[in-house]
Amino acid sequence: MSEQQRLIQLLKLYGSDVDRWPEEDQHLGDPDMFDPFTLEVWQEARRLDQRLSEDVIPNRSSEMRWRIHNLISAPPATFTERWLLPLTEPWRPALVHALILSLGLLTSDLVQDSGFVDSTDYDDAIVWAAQYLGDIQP
Amino acid sequence: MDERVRGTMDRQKEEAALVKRVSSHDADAFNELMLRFLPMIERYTFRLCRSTEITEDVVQETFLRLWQGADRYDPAKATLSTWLHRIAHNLCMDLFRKHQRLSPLPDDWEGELSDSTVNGTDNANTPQSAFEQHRKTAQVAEALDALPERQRSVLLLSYFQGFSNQEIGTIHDLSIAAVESLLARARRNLTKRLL
Repeated sequence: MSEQQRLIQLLKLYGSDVDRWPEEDQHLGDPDMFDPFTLEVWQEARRLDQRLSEDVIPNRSSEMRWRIHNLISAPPATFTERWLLPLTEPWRPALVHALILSLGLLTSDLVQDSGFVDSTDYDDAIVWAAQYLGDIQP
Repeated sequence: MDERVRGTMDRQKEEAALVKRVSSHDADAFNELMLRFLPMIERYTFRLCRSTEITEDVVQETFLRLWQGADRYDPAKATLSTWLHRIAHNLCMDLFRKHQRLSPLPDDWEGELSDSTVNGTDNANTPQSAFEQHRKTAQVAEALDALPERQRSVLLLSYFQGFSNQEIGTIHDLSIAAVESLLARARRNLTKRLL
């Protein structure tokens, strides 16, 4: 790549301010040495840099620093505050639902383990009622 | 060794030491890092999302992550500034995805402009010059916002934040050639819009 090509590449990548160029290329940035075409590219890059410098933005750094400082200085949240109260994170309600579901499944297992026989048979119902009343032995 | 390179290395070592102190919840070290890095993270975030509210949330979350997860920072992989910019960038992208598109300028923009400003001189002495400054800022903001997300972010990191192409590559997981290509396209697009 010739010096002129490199110069144009630098102008198109970093603009006209030599301080923004990689250090090893900064020696190329003397507009007095530019040929007419490079000078035109440099002028265009400079106009764009001037426009970009018009982007003025608000500064709330000290306010933010103060707020963050207060946050980290606050006493640590209790278990309830941290996990149970703020159910705003999307995964937290899911966790609660999963726990309820697990509890339901576990309870259902326990019910089956108790020997309960699920039946809609009419005769079975009569026998269970009789067993309950003590009329017959199981 | 070059004086400037040595200075940079000393600064990075010092920052790594401060991060180590932050990992054991040293508030003084944390405040020192906020003083050094919060303004630049704020500027980057604001230019990326153009919303005061979101900027505040992202900056706060970025520094809370530093406070809570300082031990995850590896100075061998990136400078602290690069690491923090990467966190802020990812948070912004998450919010972009959540809200799709953010408004280009906050409603209270004009009011904020009369406060202290970060760049340029605040010469808004008359309503007319304030209006003119507002108009110019809005034009540049609009042109920056119109850029595709990656072009915008790469340009902001290079032009406004002063990162090298290698550091930008680390933030975005891109090769240097890809960063250069995005940078050139961003400036070309801005030239078309603003000149």
